[in-house]
Amino acid sequence: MSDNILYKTIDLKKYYLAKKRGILETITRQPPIFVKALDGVSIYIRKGEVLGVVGESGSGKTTLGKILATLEKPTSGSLIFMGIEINDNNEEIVRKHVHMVFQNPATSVNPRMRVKDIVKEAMKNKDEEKVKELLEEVGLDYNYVKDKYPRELSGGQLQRVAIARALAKEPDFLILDEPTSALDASVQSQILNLLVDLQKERNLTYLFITHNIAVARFIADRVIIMYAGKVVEEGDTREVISEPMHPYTQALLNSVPELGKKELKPPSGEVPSLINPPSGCRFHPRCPFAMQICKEREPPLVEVNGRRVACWLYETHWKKASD
Amino acid sequence: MLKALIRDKAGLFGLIIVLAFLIWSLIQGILEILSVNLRKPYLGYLLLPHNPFKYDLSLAFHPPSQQFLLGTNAEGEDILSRILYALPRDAFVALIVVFSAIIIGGILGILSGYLGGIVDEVIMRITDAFLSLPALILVIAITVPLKATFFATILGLAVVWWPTYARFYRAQTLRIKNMDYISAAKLSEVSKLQLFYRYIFLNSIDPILAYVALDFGNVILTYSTLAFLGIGITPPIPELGEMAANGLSGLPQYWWWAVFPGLTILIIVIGFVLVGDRLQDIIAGRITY
Amino acid sequence: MLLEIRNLNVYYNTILGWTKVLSDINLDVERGEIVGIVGESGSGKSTLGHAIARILPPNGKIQGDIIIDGVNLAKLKDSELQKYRGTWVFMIFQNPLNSLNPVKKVGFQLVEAAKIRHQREGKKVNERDLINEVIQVLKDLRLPDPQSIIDRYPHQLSGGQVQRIVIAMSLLLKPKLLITDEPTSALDVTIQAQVINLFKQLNKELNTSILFITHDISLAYVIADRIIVMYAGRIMEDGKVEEVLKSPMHPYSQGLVSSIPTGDKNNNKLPAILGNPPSFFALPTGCKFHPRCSKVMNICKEKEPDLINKNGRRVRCWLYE
Repeated sequence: MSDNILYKTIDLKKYYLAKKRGILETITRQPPIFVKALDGVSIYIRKGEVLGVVGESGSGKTTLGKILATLEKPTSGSLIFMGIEINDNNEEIVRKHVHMVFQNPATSVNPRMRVKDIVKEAMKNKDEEKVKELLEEVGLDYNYVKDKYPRELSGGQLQRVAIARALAKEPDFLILDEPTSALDASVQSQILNLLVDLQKERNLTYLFITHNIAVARFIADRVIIMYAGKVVEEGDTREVISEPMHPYTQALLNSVPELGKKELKPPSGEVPSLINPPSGCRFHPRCPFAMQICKEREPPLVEVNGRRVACWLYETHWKKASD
Repeated sequence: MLKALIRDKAGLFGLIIVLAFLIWSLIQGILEILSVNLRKPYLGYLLLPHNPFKYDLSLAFHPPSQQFLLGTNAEGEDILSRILYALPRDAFVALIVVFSAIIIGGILGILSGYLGGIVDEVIMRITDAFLSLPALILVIAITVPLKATFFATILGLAVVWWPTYARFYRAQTLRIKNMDYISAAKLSEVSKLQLFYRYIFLNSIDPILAYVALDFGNVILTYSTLAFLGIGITPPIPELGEMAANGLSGLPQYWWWAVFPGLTILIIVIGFVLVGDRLQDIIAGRITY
Repeated sequence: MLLEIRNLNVYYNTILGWTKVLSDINLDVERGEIVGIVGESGSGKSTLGHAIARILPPNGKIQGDIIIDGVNLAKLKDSELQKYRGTWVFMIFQNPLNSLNPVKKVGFQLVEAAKIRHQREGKKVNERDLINEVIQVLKDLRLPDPQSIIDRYPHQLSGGQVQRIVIAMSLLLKPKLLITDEPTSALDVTIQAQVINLFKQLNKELNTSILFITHDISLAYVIADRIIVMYAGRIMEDGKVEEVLKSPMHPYSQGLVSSIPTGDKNNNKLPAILGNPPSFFALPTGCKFHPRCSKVMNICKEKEPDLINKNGRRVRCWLYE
């Protein structure tokens, strides 16, 4: 185990109750119905890197972000932060070093607080000078915004405020959940540039969750592709995107519109149910290469040429993935 | 928001009534308290056309005239003066009951919504119990054993009034607690107290405002009904509801005795309803869920 | 020419009085053409769609002409417009659940659509034939198990399925012009791709013209023949999609194209357009884009350029006059 690893998860599972269980259900011993948002996810993130998490709705990427931020507790599996196993009692260890930037800036700040108070939220000593520095670092005019309420600012400006707030307690690790998806195109690139600069200047580690492959390619060193609560592929961003190994990754890339591409070749079928996922490999109903074994057994995540892939197509090449 | 309220004629009309009622109640209320504490009874009717306690049977049952604008009652007391003397007590009751309901309901509702689980179940079942019984009967059941004094009535009303607010705050808390800014606050290690107050409570106020305005009217109506039944009154201090009750025996010849106090209640409640209704429209356009 | 828009201006009655949100829109769409209308929020693209479909909110006002196959829809009253809705112009919205009636079964709504078309063509049909037609269309769109889908309510279906039902409705109504307002923004990437292919199929089979309103330029590239770039309620550039996106003329179009993240993490900056889109209550003088333009000149601050023809395109910029 390299000591360069900041955060890792081992076989992380998160199951939500699909319906609230009342007294009647408990008495009649009806089995609870679970939505399996994460079903055995093992990832690691190195200090100073940007790990992209790419997936569609239902992939579990947002749930993964929330659990890493300790905003949700895992149903099973381990979380290991800076070498320490995290449980109910020592969540603060994580919270001291981690903050998060959310997708919709309008709902990620308290509408009743002024900008300067929002930034001060995480600061122990409410140092006005530091607020000024932070706001300027994210490209805002301190004197103009400090007393404004969120409703008086644009989406791009609010997202900058949210970033300033996240930086206020000098975190080592930022979890960014689709931070540019809700912004206009021209503002998206401004914010992306800002995030890249901040990462370099402050030597931050990012977990960058997005559904947009182009954005992941631009900002992430490594990327993991998630589908139906599991990791299906993981590796260096450039390699994964130029030579995708997992059929889902290939289908995803074929569905993404790009200048110069007039044809889209999406996979058939729907995103699978998380309550009753398909047997064996979860992608098999939509996979053009599905074999008999794919319907019966779930493929393990194996290492192939520096990449990790969960697909029976690579069975002959695999050697067991290292923890 | 104030500007938007005023732009609508009905809202403006309601606001004028409400403000007139509250400002008068404040001034007259202070005078009444001073008159008791300083033992100078005349302070109590300094601003009134007549002494509301002046008992003069020769002036009894005078119809509305220039001297007695709204007529006199069986004891020859000027009805207008009695009405004006009674108003501050309604304002006082309304303010205390509604604010205590907001605070009690707020605390219980937010705890219930945020903590969930058994706390939620218990609080909600208690709320259900209160809401399933008719408010008036419940208030009477609490107040009468406490000798039905003015303050006992206020207590009774406050005890019965909070459940609706608890439900309301719980709903707001459930809406807010999954918002990203709450998650961000947790990561920022904001204290629980700050979280409840600054992040949840303050963001729940807007949708309530309209209901609060209407609720002032509700309290006054309920309180007047109690006074009508003879609960919460301290004779000889006049109460609008009690005046209407007594006036019933004077119908139909001496109609002014019952009608004017009733009309006063009606006008005040309409004022609050108009303001509340207008606020509702404004707020509905402002909140995004 | 299917659609001719001449000198279209749209105003909204707001708290601050009548505000102009669409200015000087002149536009032609041929039969069977797919035109992408691209812009950020506040560009007016959505208002344009609503204006053409004549479904602006009550505080909106239209000035100008909207002519479809010789009929000037802008001059018609609501009652007269009824017979053109659906079969001449049909609109698909971003939130799939806004397009369907939540309290009626999906099958009922589709049959209703088919019925309307047959009635307008003057044909009599019976219930059985209509249902068969609906089922056939659902099969064509490769929706699973059409027989049971028609008995469902919209909330029982996923976003992608609902959007496909709405497209099915288009196949049944056979409109001349289909206006789609961000129809895939709420959908996952793979489902979006499926739906885009269905739109293309619709266009090929029925020769329906499509106005595809979106903020995603790459998406417009995939589906559109022609593209119109809007900013602050005005058309800034209008031309063939290959040309406009490969070699954009207007600085705003150039900015939009270069702000698409392309290429790997090479630690280069993304060329971004500085500033924010303007509010209609405080539009800049002269060219509306000038405060954010890297090539701004003095004249840009004083006079607004006209939309002129240049190199087979239309562009609104002093650089080309």
